[in-house]
Amino acid sequence: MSVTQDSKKDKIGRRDFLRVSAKALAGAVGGGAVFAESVAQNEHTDGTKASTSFPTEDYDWTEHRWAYGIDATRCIGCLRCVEACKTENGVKKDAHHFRTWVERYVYVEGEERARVDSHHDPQNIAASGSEGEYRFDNRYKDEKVTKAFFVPKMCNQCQHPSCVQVCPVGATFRTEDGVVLIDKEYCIGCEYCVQACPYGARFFDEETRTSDKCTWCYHRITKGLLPACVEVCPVEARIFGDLNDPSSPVSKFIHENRVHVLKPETGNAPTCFYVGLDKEVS
Amino acid sequence: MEMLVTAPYTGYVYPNETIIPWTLLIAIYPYLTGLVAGAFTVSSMYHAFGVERFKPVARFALLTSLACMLFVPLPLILHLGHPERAMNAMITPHLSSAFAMFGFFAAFYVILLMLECWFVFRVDNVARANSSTGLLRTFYRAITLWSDDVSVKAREYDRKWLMALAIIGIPGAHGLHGYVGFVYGSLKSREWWGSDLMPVIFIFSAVISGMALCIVLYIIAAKVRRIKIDFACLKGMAYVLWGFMMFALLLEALAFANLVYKGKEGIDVIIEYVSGPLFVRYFVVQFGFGALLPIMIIGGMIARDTRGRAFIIGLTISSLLVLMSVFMMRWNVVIGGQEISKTMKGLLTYIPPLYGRQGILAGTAVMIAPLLLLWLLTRLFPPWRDMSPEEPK
Amino acid sequence: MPAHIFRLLLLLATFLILAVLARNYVLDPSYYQFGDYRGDAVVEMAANPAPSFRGPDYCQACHSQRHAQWTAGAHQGVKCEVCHGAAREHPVDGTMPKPADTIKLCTVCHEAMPGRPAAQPQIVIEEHPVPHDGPIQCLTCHNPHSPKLGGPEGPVAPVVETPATAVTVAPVLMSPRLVSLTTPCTPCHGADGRNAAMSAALAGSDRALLVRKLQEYRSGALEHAVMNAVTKSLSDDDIADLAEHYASLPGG
Repeated sequence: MSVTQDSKKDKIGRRDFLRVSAKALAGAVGGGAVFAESVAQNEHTDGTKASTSFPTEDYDWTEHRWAYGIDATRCIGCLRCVEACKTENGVKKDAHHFRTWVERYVYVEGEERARVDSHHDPQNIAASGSEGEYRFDNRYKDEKVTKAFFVPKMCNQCQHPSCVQVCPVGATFRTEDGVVLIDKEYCIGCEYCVQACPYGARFFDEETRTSDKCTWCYHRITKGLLPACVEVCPVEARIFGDLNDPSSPVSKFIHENRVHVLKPETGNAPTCFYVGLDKEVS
Repeated sequence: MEMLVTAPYTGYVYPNETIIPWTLLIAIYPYLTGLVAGAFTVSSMYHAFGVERFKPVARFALLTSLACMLFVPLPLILHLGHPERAMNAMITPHLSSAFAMFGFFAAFYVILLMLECWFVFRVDNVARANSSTGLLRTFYRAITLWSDDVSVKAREYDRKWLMALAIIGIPGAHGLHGYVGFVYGSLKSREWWGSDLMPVIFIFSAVISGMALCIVLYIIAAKVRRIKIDFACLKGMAYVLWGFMMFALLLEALAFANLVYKGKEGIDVIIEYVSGPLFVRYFVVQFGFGALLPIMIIGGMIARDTRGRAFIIGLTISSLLVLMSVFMMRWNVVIGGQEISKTMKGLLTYIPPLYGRQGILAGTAVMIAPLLLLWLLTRLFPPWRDMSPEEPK
Repeated sequence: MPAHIFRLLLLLATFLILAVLARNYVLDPSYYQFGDYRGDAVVEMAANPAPSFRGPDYCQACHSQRHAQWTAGAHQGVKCEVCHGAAREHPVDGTMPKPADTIKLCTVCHEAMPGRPAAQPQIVIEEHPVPHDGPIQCLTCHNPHSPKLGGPEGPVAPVVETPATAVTVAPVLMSPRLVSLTTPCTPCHGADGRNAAMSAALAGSDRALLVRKLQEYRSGALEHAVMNAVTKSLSDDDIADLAEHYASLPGG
């Protein structure tokens, strides 16, 4: 195949070049202006400016700094919190999706490591009757138990959340009042956050096809109510309150106890504070 | 609604872990990007580094890279809970997220790859435009942007662009795949993943997988089209493959040794995993048959200066073993990492379903699709002339 | 510049501009309002859903007597909805379920289990109140709203209550003092003292025998978990009056 010769019609004259370039430049400037303006604006979809109290008229998130306390020395493992959370938040009632759960640690005589179980254990499921009801069985009642306790678990609402760091679309974020939320309208369901959480607090919700986790019942605390788990706990093992208020239950809890957080080596700085942890609790 | 695939477990695992989040599709995805990076490296041997020896396979490797790249988003889209919102990652990229930055990197790289293919085949496309009729002619005219300038000056421009693209493309391709390693290596939540060596390991294993694929496809194509294989080219690829394989094996072995040597809390469960459920997948398949054996075969052939048919058979077997080994490596990292619980007190077992969006059949289709696309691309943009001067242009 | 390079650059520039324009068109206006997320999402999450658990104050509005009994009793830390389930829009959405299997419900907290702190009242199911075969529903003896047996905190008798009715139905001729004394006995022995299904029939029994039995239970000479508990705080006058009452009832 021979090489075609330079043909005049393929050469672009200077005038033509300038004409077309000018049009392209105008287009670019126009596009840039639209882009800049949309970034600079701060309006709601209906055109009104953001009101001073956010996110509701009666609740200003800048006035609160929420925190949670868990007293594992009081927990009786009744699991009313697990059921209440699922009821309040519409979480699937099976053994694989939990916004909060309780772990049982039992040291049997002669063993150095604790035996750990929770609600996905088949024996516990049998004891409760189904995957949608929650109960610990009594398998250790005839054993020589040297030490045993229950540890409630949930999202630790970290100050430096691994999950927020990895979300590609900004669907999970930390609010001004210290709660890590998930925007169900924006999440693409990639589950990177589920992988990144060191505590196993996040999971995939097949109904909404987005990630899900404990939100400290944000829809309740912004109305002056307690999270459902704290509301139902019969032994005050779960404590919730505002760190901005030194007389709140959680402020007192932190002030009056030596408190721990789970996996401090991650640097995530959880805002769930524990009393009564043990070397085996991970 | 899909049936829930739950993972049986031993020991203690967090309740939410009983559904494995990242499935076989997510193991296939780095395999595909690895092939992209590796095939591009083969092509760059000629287009960037100017090593004439690799000319016969250079454009073919480029098409292979493109065919795999165009299918790279597919396993991700199939896995997402909301694939229709996937563009959110480009509309509002969360800059701290490796996934978000990847969106732009991948978009940049796919454009770069298409541009390189465009330049590399432009002259041939112009010729085809002039010699075709009907729909095909329209296609070639459009793809050459209605220009049939193949003058010396035009081709000089092409050459400069190609050089620039090829050079930018090398960090592009390796960054594209290295970031996958970064995604795993940067997570502190899983001991099996969180390693500084992870991006490097991924890159090296990517290069060997792409190289092995190019070798196998070259041999098959030559056989099908009855072209005489350029022995120098093939041996050149064998050398590069062999060298990179030794590096890859060394790095993977070091990463594992590092983990065991540090012996941090939870190492007992890792040892239990590696000496139990993972033993065959890891030591026998990935390291043994997949790495040591091909290294020995190729090394032996090089040492004994094997030629001709024996060399081709030995190299084909080695390359297939490498392809299997690299897939196993992706599986062992992605799935293996999730089979070790974050509690470091238990193990899970991932059992992929056969049907469904994330099943074995879907995964197999995703793996075969790039080969079908490659076949189509070689029909539209034949690279055979490079392999044999007698081939029609 | 050759035509094809120019057209290529034009194509790339057009694509880039179109991409930026499309991005701005679809970008949610509330995104970037406070950070890298949709500001509207916070508003949505603060508003929805409506709380399911309403709290004891909500129940008190209609169930004030039950509520009063509960706040005075040993279960004051166990809120209504823990056992009854979330109130949601009750009564608009219907009556709330009453727990049927109280053994299953009550033992979820009270079954003796390694790991439960000693402060938690716990029982071994097969031995409470006495070693027995077959189930004994907790409600037989315990008022779930004030479960402690005997003692002055509150009446023991568990009854089916509608919001307006009183806690117990007292026999017409009994003095208030006698009503109070006999309420721990009623659940097992029946209001007429004739319920032999659970326990001894008391109606028409010998008065001296009743006094002696009550004294022996009170001192612990006779061991019976329930009887020991209910007689612990009885005075001699109490015992005399109780024995007089049951001996006078028709029966025997």
